[in-house]
Formats: sequence, structure tokens, C-alpha cells
Amino acid sequence: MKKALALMLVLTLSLSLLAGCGGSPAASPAPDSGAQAAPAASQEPAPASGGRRVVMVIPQSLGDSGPMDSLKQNLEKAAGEFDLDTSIYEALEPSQHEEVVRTFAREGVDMIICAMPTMVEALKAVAPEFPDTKFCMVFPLEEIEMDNVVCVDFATWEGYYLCGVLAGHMTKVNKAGHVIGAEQSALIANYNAFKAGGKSVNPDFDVLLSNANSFDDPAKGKEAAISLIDQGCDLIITDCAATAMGVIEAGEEKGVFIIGDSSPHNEISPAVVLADTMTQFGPAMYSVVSEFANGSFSPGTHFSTLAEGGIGITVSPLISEHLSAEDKAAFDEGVADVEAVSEKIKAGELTVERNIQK
Amino acid sequence: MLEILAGMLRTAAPILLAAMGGVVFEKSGVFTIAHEGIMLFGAFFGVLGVYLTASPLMGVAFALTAGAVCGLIYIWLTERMGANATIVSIGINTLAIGATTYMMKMIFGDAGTVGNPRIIGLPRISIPLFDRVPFLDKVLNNHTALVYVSLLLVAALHFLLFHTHLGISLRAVGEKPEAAAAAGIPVYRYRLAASVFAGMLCGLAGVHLSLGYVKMFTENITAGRGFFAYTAVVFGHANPFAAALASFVFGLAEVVTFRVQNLNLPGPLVLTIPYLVTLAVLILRNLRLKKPAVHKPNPAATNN
Repeated sequence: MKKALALMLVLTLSLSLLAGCGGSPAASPAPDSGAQAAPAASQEPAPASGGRRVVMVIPQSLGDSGPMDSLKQNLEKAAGEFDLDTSIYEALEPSQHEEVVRTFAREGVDMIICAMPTMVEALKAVAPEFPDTKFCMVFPLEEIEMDNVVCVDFATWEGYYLCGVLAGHMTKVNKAGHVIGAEQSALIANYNAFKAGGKSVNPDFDVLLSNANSFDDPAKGKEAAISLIDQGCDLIITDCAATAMGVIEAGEEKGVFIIGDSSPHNEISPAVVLADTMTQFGPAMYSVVSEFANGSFSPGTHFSTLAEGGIGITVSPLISEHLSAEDKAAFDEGVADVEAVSEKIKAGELTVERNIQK
Repeated sequence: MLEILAGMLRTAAPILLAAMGGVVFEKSGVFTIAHEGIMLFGAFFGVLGVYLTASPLMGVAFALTAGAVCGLIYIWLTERMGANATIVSIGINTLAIGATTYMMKMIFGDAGTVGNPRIIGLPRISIPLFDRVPFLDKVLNNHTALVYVSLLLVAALHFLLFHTHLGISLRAVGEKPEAAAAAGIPVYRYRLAASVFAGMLCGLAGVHLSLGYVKMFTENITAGRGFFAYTAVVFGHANPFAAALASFVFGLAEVVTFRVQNLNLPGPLVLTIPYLVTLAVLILRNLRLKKPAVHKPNPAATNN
């Protein structure tokens, strides 16, 4: 028993060692990828348009009712419309990213979609090794200049500015909380934009920042939110994916308004979720994939802004009936203001600064 | 200030429950680091139990059962089959993440988060008369049931281990199994019972997380709290009160992290507070306890 176990362990270890040998040709057992540069398309006489393999590798769990789910839905939509062979792989450990991406590239996948800033390094390492594989990087937060890479990025701060406008109308104590999942430039930019948005309608508006340091720990999110509420905040905005679920629960318990991130949360908690920022992760990726399916591919960064529809704010359709008369008046006023400001940004009359200084 | 203490109880409770499980494991001489995995199973089955029966109590029962089964499997593998304790622990931890995520997709059809109106949380308890005293009201009142259970458990466990015949026998089994066996104590049966009980406590820690702390299950909801629990056990030399103290220190450190973030200190530095506290406690403990009370053999070597 013990010997067998030890043997298994040794085997597993040596296998993972082999797998870790990176781009060395000897370690690529897949029959159709003996030489790395061999284009998959030329070896597999794939049907002209159909049956092409598109794999999406994501660094966060599905089921966040947020960006990951949005990507999944849109990939499935593209799969149905363009007869693509799609699959999704959750690579939750950063140490896995490079290897997973490389494995799929070696298998001869036609297009590999990666998401979120944490995957950028893996993509940068692998993409040059497989010039015939197309890569799509959703939300890299930087520009990647390679001939086979297209990036999709978002001006999320514009959405947070709009939320700030709404929050400025809704808060009674001029103090809002902002829960982030990590101290990253992009999230700090959102925080600054939120504060600026609030100040634009309410000069006394102030925001307390709280870093839960996790994008998938609702318990931490709840504790962060409770701590903000104890410090006097009467509205909390989230920027932390699944961690936000705990923030919403805290809001529900303490009766504090919440503005969620990335996708609508109003059905989860109709009485406290005022609105959500909207980042259309999916549709922007969908347009890249559909372009690819139609045979064209343009490398570079595809920037999705408020004007282009990749960014926005979803005002909850359910909240009105839960509001007191006073809150409702503030809410309606706020929403009208958000629409006006949104039009201004779209028309280019107002530019929201991307400020990454905390 | 009082809110911080209340927050400490809240954040410490899951760690505390698992740490009490860890104390029982440790005292019976069963080495394990599987708390994390057992907690995760407990958290999942707790949610499943509520989902199926609409009763939080059944959720707790499900979690206890899951924990007991894990304890049973663990002791069978390590004691009867002679498997290496470290490997089995890692196995359970890894299996828990995979299995719960898979079952979540199968049963709830949802991949990352299960939040459902059918998931009813554990009741909050407000203790009569406590609301008259501001301190007690703010710190001790209106927590979910398992927070109180965790506090009572510390005292109960201390009594059991140090003041009952059963506890003394159990400690004998842990400290000198040969001597215990010579005295006619059935070592394996004691370890079996202890492991099942400890598994149940870890399951309880998990269900506290998914039905008490928040009302949902997400992939890997335990997020390393099981390992914090094990650390608390090591700090406390498997003494219930000392392990509880360590759990509270962890809880306090986490809450304080959230409170001091707005004092214009550099953010990343603030986030290291829990770890700095951990280190400080470790150093302090070692300064005070020059000689370990119990000599523990290297766990990896015990089964060879």
C-alpha cells in the first residue's frame, strides 16, 4: 500500500516535471504538434468555417453572476451561431496559467481567449511561441503588441463615475464605502472616479476605501462591509467580483444601499441594490470571436468605452418599490442626473480622468 | 471599539470551531491538516441540507454527518490502512475543493456561487438582559447560534479533556499509546471516536461559514481558514483555551485590518498585519515555553 502510494507520488511528480518543460519539443506528446510552429489549421483539414476550436481559459470561478458568467454566455452564443467547437477551462491558480495556455496552444486550438489582468504574463510568454494560434486577451489593463494577439479593454472608471453621481444623490451622511478586491491601478482608478462623480453633485461627498484582498471570499467581503458601515457609511459600492456577494449580504442585514459591480445583482437583493456598474465583458469578446469566425483578425487593443457601449450602469428596476418617499425622490433625481452625465461623456463634452493615485 | 470585538468573535468563530476539532485530533494523537477540506465539505453539505429540507437545523445535521464521515475515512486510512497522514490530509483538502465544486454544478447547476432564497441561515440569538448592558449587547448579543456554540465548546472541551476520566484516557492515548494500551485502553477505538468527533467539529466550522456567517456556498468558501485553525492548535499546544486565544488573535487581526485601512497607512502593509501578528505570537510563545509540554514525533515519520 505504502509502496504503491510512494510510487504513484514519484510518477505524478516526474510527470508534472515533464509537463513543466515548457516549449521543448520532446515534451509535447500531442501527435499533431510535434513541431511547435506547425499550424494546426494546415494539419487538420478542418471544415472551412465550422468546427474550429476556441478555448477560453479563465482565472476565476464561473458562477460569479459577473464577468466570468458573461464571458461564458457570449462564448456559448458565438458557438451556436458560428458552429465553433468551444470549451472553457478554469485555471484558478496563477501558477497554472502559462502551462494551461501552452497546452491548449500545443493541442492546435485555433483561438485561445484569456481573461483578467492576472493572465497577461502567461499570454505574453506563450503567444510568441505559437504565431499561428490567435489569442484574445480580455481585460489585460495594458497594451500587448503582438501580431496574433487582440486585447479587449474597458474604461471601467467611466461607469464608476456615473455610480458616483448616483451615490452623491443617495447618501444622507455624505460618506460612502468602496470595497475592492485588490489594490490594483485599475481599481484605484475606479475608486477615484467614483469619488469624483460623487463630488460633482455633492461637494461634501467622501469615500472610504476598503481592500478585502480577495475576489472570491464572500465572508471577507461581508466583514469589510460591516466595518465600513460601522465607520458610518450609508452606501457601499463594490469592485471585487464574488467577494461582493458578502458585501450585498451585509447591506441587506444593515439596511445599507449597495452598488454592485460588473453585472446586475438587483435580483439577488432587490431591496438594497440600487444599481450595478456594467462592464460588457461578453459582448466585446463576442465581437472579436465573431470577427475571427468570419475569417478576419485585427491585432491591437479594442477599447470598450461608455460611448461604445462596453461600459455603463444598470439601474435596478426593482429598487423603487422598496424606497421611502424621500429616498425615491433622491433616487429619481440621481438617475436622471446619471443619464444626463452619461450623454455628456458619450458626446465627449466630459472626460473622466483615469487617476491611479490613491 | 466594541464593534471590533464583536467583529472579532464573528471572524474568529469558524477558525475557533475548526481549532477545537484540531485540539481533539491532536490530543488523541491523530496528526492531520485536513481541517480545511472537512470544513469545506461541511459548508457544502450544510447548504445542501437546507436546500433539500428547508430547515437550517437539518443543514447543520448534514454538515455534522459529512464531518463525521470525513473523520471516519481519515482514521481508517491512516490507522488501519497505514497511509501517510500528510498525504491523506492533502488528499482530503484537494478532494474537497474538486468534489464540492463538481457537486455544486451537478445539484445546483451553478458553478461558482450558490445563493438561493431556499437557503435559510442559522437564527441569530438575542440574549435577554444583555441588551441592558451596552458592552454585552454590542459584543456578545445577536450573533448566530454557532458563535455561542463555539464559545461554550471551549470550556466544555477543556472540562472533558482535563477533568473527566474519558479525557484523561484520551490524552493518554495521544501522549503514550503504548502505556494506554498496557493500561487496557482501546487505543484505536479512542482515536476513531475522537476523529469522528473532531470531524464533526470541523464540519460545524464549515456550516457556520456557509449558513451563519454568510448564506451561500462559493467555491473554496473556506479560503484557508482551516489552516489558520491548525496554526491555532499548534500555538495553543492543543490546549482548548490557548487555541481559542490564538483564534481570537487571528479574528482580531483580520477585523483590525479592515478598520485601519482608512488611516492613510500604505494599504499593502496593513494587509500584512494578520501575518505579523501570527509571527509575533509564535515568537512570544516560544520564548515563554522553552520546553514543549508534549514531545511530538515528526508526523511524516510516524507512519513509516
